[in-house]
Amino acid sequence: MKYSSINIPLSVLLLGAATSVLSAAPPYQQLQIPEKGAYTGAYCDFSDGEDQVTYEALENFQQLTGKPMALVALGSFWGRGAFPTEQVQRVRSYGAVPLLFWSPWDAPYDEKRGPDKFALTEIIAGKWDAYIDRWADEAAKVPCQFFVSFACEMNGTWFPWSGWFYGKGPRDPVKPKNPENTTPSSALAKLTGADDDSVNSWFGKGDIKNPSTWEGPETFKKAWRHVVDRVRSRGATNILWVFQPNNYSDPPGYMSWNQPAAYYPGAKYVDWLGLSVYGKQTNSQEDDKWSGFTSLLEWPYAEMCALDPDKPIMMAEWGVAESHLPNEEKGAWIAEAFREMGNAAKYPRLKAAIFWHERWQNDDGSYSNLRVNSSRASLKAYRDNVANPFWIGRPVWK
Amino acid sequence: MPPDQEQSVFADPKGIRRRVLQLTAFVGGLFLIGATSYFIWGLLIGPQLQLPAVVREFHARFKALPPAKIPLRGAKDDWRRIQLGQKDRGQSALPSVPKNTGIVLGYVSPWDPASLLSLERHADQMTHVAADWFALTGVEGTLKEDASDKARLLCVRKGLGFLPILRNLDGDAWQPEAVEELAHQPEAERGAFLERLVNRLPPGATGLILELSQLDPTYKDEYSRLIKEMADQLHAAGKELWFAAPTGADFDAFDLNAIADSVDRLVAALYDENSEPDDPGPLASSDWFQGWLKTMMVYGEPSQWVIGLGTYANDWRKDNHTVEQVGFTDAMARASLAGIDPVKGVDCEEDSPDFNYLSGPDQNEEHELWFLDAVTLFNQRRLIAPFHPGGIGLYRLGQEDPAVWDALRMNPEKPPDLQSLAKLSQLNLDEFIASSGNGDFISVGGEAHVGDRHLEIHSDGEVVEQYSKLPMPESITRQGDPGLHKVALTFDDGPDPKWTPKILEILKEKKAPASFFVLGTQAQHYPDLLEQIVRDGHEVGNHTYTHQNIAEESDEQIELELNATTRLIEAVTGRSTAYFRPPFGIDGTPSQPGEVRSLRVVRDLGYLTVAESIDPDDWERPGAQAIFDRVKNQRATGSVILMHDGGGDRSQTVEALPEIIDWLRSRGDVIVPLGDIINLPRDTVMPPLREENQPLSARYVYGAFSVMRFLENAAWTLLVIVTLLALLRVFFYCLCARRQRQREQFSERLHPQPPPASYPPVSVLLAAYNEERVIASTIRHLLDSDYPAPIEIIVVDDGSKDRTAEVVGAIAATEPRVRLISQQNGGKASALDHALGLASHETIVMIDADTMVAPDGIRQLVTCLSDPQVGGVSGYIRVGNTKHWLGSFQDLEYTAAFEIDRRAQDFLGCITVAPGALSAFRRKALLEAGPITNETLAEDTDLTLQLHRLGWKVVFASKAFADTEAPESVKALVSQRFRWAFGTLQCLWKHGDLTFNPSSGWLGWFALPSVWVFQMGVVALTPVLDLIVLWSLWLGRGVAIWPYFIASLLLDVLLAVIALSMAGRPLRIAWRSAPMRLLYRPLLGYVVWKCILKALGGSWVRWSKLDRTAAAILQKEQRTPISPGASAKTDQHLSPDA
Repeated sequence: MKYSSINIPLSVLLLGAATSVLSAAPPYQQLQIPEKGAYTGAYCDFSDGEDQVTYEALENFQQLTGKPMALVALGSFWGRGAFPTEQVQRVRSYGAVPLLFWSPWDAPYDEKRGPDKFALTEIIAGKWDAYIDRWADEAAKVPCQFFVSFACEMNGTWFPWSGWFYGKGPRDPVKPKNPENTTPSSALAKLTGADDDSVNSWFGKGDIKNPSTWEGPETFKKAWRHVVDRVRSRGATNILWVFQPNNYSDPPGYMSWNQPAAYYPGAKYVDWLGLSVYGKQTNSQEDDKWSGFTSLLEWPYAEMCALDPDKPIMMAEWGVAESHLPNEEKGAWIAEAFREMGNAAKYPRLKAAIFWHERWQNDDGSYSNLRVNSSRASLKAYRDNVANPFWIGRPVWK
Repeated sequence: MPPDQEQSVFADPKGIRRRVLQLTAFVGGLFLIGATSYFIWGLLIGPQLQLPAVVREFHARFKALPPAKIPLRGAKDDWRRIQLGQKDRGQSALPSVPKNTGIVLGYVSPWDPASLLSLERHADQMTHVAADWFALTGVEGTLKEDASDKARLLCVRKGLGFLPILRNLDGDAWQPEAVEELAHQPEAERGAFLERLVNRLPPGATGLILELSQLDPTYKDEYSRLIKEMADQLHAAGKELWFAAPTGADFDAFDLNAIADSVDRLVAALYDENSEPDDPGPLASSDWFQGWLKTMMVYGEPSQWVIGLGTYANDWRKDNHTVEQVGFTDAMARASLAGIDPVKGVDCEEDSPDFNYLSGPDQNEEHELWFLDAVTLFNQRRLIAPFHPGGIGLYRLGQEDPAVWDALRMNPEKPPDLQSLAKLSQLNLDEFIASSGNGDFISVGGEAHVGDRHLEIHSDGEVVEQYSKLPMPESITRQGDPGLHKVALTFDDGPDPKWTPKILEILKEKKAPASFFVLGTQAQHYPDLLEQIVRDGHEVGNHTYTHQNIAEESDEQIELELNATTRLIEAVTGRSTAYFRPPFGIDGTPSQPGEVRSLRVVRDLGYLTVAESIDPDDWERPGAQAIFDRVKNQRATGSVILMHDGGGDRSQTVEALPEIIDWLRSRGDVIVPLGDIINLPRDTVMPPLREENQPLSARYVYGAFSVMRFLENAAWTLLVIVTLLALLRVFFYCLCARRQRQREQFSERLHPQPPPASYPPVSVLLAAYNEERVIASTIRHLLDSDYPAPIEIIVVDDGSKDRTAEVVGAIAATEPRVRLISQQNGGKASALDHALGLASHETIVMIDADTMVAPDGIRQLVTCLSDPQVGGVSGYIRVGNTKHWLGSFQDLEYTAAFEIDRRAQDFLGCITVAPGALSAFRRKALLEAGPITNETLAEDTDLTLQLHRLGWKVVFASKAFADTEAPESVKALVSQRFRWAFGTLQCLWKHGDLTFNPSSGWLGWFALPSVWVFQMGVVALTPVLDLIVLWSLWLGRGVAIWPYFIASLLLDVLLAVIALSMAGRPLRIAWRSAPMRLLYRPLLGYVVWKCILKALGGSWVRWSKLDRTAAAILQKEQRTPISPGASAKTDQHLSPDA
């Protein structure tokens, strides 16, 4: 999809005509999708619940990087029971657009625990409608558009809303049309060297051509539509809904039930497409291999583009851990990331990127340091690259 | 003609006027005393602050909670895991030979006065001191220093080892990157850093304590390398490196084997088992303590170890999961305030006692407080004794149970004796002042008393404690914790005419409320501003009347300061106020007993004391940016911002204010009035006064404030007007004098010298009274005169008691030109009148008996009489004795008077006096004007004005010089000036009709009013003005007076310069007019007031005699070898205050 210079004025004209006929303009500021460049932003280590937003943290990050943030990401976990009105206000008064990770889980917010009382099925059953309504009513009061990434990284296994927990089997079993064709499972088995059985236990049985028929993703989509419909019906039309899978599915889903497309709730329900793109997240020798940024983005970007012909795409989370191991240079990785994301010819629809600035301790006592200032080289790379005018440090309103 | 003294001007022979005056003074005085007393009564004893009950009841509410038996989770046991890993090391922990076990390391927080106090008191029980000092921050590894030198100097003085602490801690955020990055830098870079560090060690430091936290254990070896290099660098500089070994997860980050090899000592911090991120729990439970002790002492030599023992408290607030580290004294105060049952409420079973309580305005803040005291410390010492470590550390000074110093004296290896136990059981907390609660509203806790605890010794030697009576220390309580996003702006020291309006303008524009703590002195001067503050919706608080440090004032003084200010606020705004803020602020917890006492007085008066948790020190004028930055830095921990709208140049505050407001709002803060923070409405904290509530005394006090304000304003207005008038007059006189001088020079060129034949014969009249020392010289100078025509000298001896007649007679015997006439004493006027009757010539010259006329003096005088319209001529009197300091002042004064004033008056035709010291007259004119009378003390002025009245011209002969002897003592000068001033006043009165008479020209419209205003009015008002100005100086508004003061001095010097330049004399002596002014100001003020009182009292007869006595004394005084025969009778009238 191209952003032609003719289409935009025309659509604006049409939209304008439509709104003037139907009603007055919406009572909130509308965010401009940058024509050139992309918004930059960050999650600034808001600690427990990802929502301990302080103005000082925002200023401190800006001070460190030398650039203001157009977007600030923070958590709005269902366990909190309410819309983070104060935090949103703080981000707005700082001058940025909030991106809320509206995550249906309960404290303690530990990964890999499986569904809790906010299970997708419960949401679909309407058990949390009162909460959703309350949340939506508060959201509607925010006088500008802002981003909400509902149940992000659903194509993994660590969050309780992942399809993984809701059935990997087909909802409506369909027989393979070409039984002689390689099944996804055997293809993956070849790639990974895993035996068929274990691969099958990951994938269940289904049809790659009809991904919409897998139980887990179907449940997810249903919940998504339920939530968005409900929020919209309360008048919170100022929300820009972000569909944010992890860049690579886990279990790998590029030809299976777990691919992002299987979770995609439809163009009507999504405003922006998002991705989480992380490099290596520990500094341990035994852990996964270091991979450069390009390989982490290229294919997932194409996958996102395939979901919808023209929705803008954001790096809803990106980052990498500090490492002092040989050939694992965070600074170089960050520089590459900026270079790659800033390549508008290659990624014309990439319109925002949110850096994950956090340091946490792992079970083995080591720390994963994703902070921008984890080392001098890291900080320098970020500062030098984000200074490029391609990166827009303040939201532009229509 | 015999002198009729009873006819003199202002005479009051029957003394009626005097009695009336005395009566008036008496009644007036009584009235004034009564009014003042009533005013003070109104302030002190009058009705007190009528504040709503809710304000008076506002005090911290604490409530005991029943001891909740929460099932305690086991002690944290990371040490178990580590001990498992240590198995291969064997148990070599118990050493055979203990050595160097005497270290006592005190942790001091240099920013805490209580900590310094403890250090000073107990220095003799310590060997080393560790002080918060360096912070290693940021990924760049910036080394920040935040240190107060007091602790260091104390250590140096007391001979203690001083160890600054280096932490990777910035504020309350640990900075792991700082160390991780440094440890990975190339060797050269690390070396450079370490060199910087060593260079920055403060003088007197014996080493450094390194305390690192939250490091990634992945880089253990790199840290060991860094620490070794640090130790090497320090050792090279002759310093030690001590390493603080952490407990908990941080322990894993270090290879203590390697570290023990490089550092001098290892410090174990065996406290803080539960702190910030944890749930409430013991600070050092026995299992945990022993577990870590054993775990750690495996490494290095036992004597290397210093075991840190805690003596402090952690107060958990359960509703918002925060922990406050406080002192033992604070803990006891909180327990007492909450009414904890010492036996049931304080649980001492977990080796770290604890209790629960509720606090807050709604008693809904649940607290759990754990503490360590002297008993736990003794038990811990027992536990470590078998390990023979190098010593112990005390964490931390200022927070300790005072009994720990007794516990330290006990031998931990033996069961304690009863005497020591008795000491430990006493709880006397008079070392520190406790603080409870959070917020900026300060109140004083209850009465202090001692407490005690019951101690028992278990069979194993452990001391078991049970509190039996909780002690109550002196304490303050804090309230008004505003939560995260309420913030208040407060301004002290105003209102100020320059800055307060600007601040109000900004606040109005930004729609931000604020609270102004006003000073009584300022409010009294600028009631309009105070009113505007209230009208604009802001709050007003009391900041004392005169900005005194109330901790140093008596209770009565405090009461007066506060009452006066509140009365004033009530008078101006119609509202009272419940707020008070002490000048010089309350920093943290008061450490002086005086502070608590004064706060108690304030509380008893009913005020709410408001502190400041954000203090950008804007009064230091650090720059607007710095003020803004300081507010930013302190905002996270404070909510009441202190700035100043008065007391100096506040331009930086004004500049920073809009930025501060915008920033606060952008961080999501709501700017509120102080009342909002404590949930009290405006009408409660600033109750409006109702008419019926206003007692008479209050209204009277308001009125008195207005009168005081009026007086002071009037004084200032007068000061300005007088300064302006004086300037104008000086300018005008200088202009006239200059024109006149040009005219003189012109006429000199025109008539250089009249022919000798044109000079008329002259009669010189001389009145003498007791002038034996000078009269001969005076006559000789006259005889030596170069006057070309005949001179006749008539000396009238006015009944002298000395040899005057004899001396003159001797001259007259040989000199035909001199005639001696003797008469009974009748005063100078009668003598002159007598002489005039005997004069044989038409041209009369009058001269004083002590005036040495210049050889051409008579000629110059008489020349002026060639104009037939001229009736009198004034000579030019100079001071002869200029070597004496007082003479040199008067020399300058005379020069200015003749060169400028007299010349200007000549130009305008309004000379007010042809001085008796040297003047010439037309006989015809004298007879018309005569007789010369004793009605005034200034017969020459009287005569001169009479001549003017008759239409004669009086001119100035600017070359007719005569030298006179000026008084050389202040007393003589005062006496002389008194006579001049009184004579002048008499003349002004006598010739009152001339003033503003349509026909009297410059004389009536300018010269005489000038004398009234500048010689009488201004001089009389000056001391009154000075008093009022001094008063306002004391009230701190004195700055404004300096421009006037300096301007008037400069004006005098300038005038002297002009006069000297006209006289053709060296200008360098002009500076003398500055000190002269300082002397003359009070002197002339005194003289003029004496005159006025005498004139009003009218007791002429009595003081006439006194005057003669005074004159006699004068003469006696002046008969000294240096100034022979001087007399103070130079009756010439200058303008001393020009």
